[in-house]
Amino acid sequence: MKELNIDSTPLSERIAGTIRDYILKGRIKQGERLTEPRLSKLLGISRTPIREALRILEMEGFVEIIPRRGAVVTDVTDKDVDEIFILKVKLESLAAKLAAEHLTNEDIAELEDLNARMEKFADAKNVSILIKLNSEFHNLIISKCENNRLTKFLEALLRQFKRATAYSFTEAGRIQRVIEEHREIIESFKKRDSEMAEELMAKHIQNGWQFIKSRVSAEVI
Amino acid sequence: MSRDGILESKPLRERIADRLRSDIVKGVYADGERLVEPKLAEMLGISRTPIREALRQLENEGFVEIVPRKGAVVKKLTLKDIDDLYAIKANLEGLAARQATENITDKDIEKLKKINEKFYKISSGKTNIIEEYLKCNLDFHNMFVVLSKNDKLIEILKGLDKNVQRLKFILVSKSDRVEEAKKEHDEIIKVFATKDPDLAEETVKWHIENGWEYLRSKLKKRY
Repeated sequence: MKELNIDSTPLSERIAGTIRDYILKGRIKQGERLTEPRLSKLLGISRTPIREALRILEMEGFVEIIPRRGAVVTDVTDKDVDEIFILKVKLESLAAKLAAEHLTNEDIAELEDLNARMEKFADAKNVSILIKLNSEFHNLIISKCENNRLTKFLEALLRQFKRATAYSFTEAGRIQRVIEEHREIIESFKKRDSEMAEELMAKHIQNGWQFIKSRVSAEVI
Repeated sequence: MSRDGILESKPLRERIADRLRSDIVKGVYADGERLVEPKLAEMLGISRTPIREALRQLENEGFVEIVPRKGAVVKKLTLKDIDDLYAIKANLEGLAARQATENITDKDIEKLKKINEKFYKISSGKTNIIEEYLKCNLDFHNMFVVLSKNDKLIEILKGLDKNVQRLKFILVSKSDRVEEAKKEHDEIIKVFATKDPDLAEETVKWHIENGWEYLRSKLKKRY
């Protein structure tokens, strides 16, 4: 439990972070069962926050909670990744196109700040923080598309997607490119160029897709 | 809660939502009409809790609005609703068409042709066949949506269509777009025969955008 820093994050979220790291690093394998008593013993904490942590991981798509079996680490198959990504390419680029008209200068400054923070953590390869900052970057854009339905769809997709996204932040080369692509997207927002924002976002997500695909197929099959 | 119960059938909440949704789509309830929980509970002979849950689901789907101190009211359709829905629909159905080019067979194309003929025939016949007309149009679109073989995409488009059908039921009172829609369907069929993914995506997107414009003009006339 040494990884858990004393901060304001709720215990359940910190536990979720630890388990997520284990899954990403392969210390907990796909298909493995995560029972509450076992985790409770492993982490030295009571079962209630563990149950909450598993629910967080379920929302993020890392585990699936099966009645009477408990939480099982999900498999990421090629087909899943393909289905999620192709939808993301279409929907998130649409969101970026719409957001280009609604993002305020403060929002754009916030995007720059988030990207600068990602750069700071890039060397340390702090996966959890990078996942978080990256989601904040993307969520800010999505929240400004002003199309509630689109936002809801993307939120649902992102929950399943996080599982796959995590791979992008385990390799220095891809992290650097993510930051550069974010920078280009920010530029298109500054110019209020919706078409370009749409195109760049589509490319950004497609690049992530290609990268994750190479990683996932190497590991799963 | 017993596990068998869940496996056996849809949850009560969903069945109530289905019923209310179809009533809203058919226009049983007017725009802005209140959906009063106790009244619905009495009418359907069930407790209020699942009704409240069903109303919340319908709020999520965009059919009702929960207004403080008024409860659930049927959501009025606005130009923004049409724009929001169709921006997504155009993109995703275009994508479905693109993916369908990988799976579509000659047999499927024949079937599309038949559905399109039927679609045209229905509208040139008797009066008040709008329900059938819309259903036939839906059959045409569903053909290639399903052929995308992308389960998540199919699920999202199904959800969207519940709302689109409501729009159409309210706004489309006659089949005055049928000539154009039929021709556009013909174009789509032609493109599927070539199996060109870019062209299929573009053509379907164009077709949806035309429908979008049509509904916008209908709504502007209505309010």
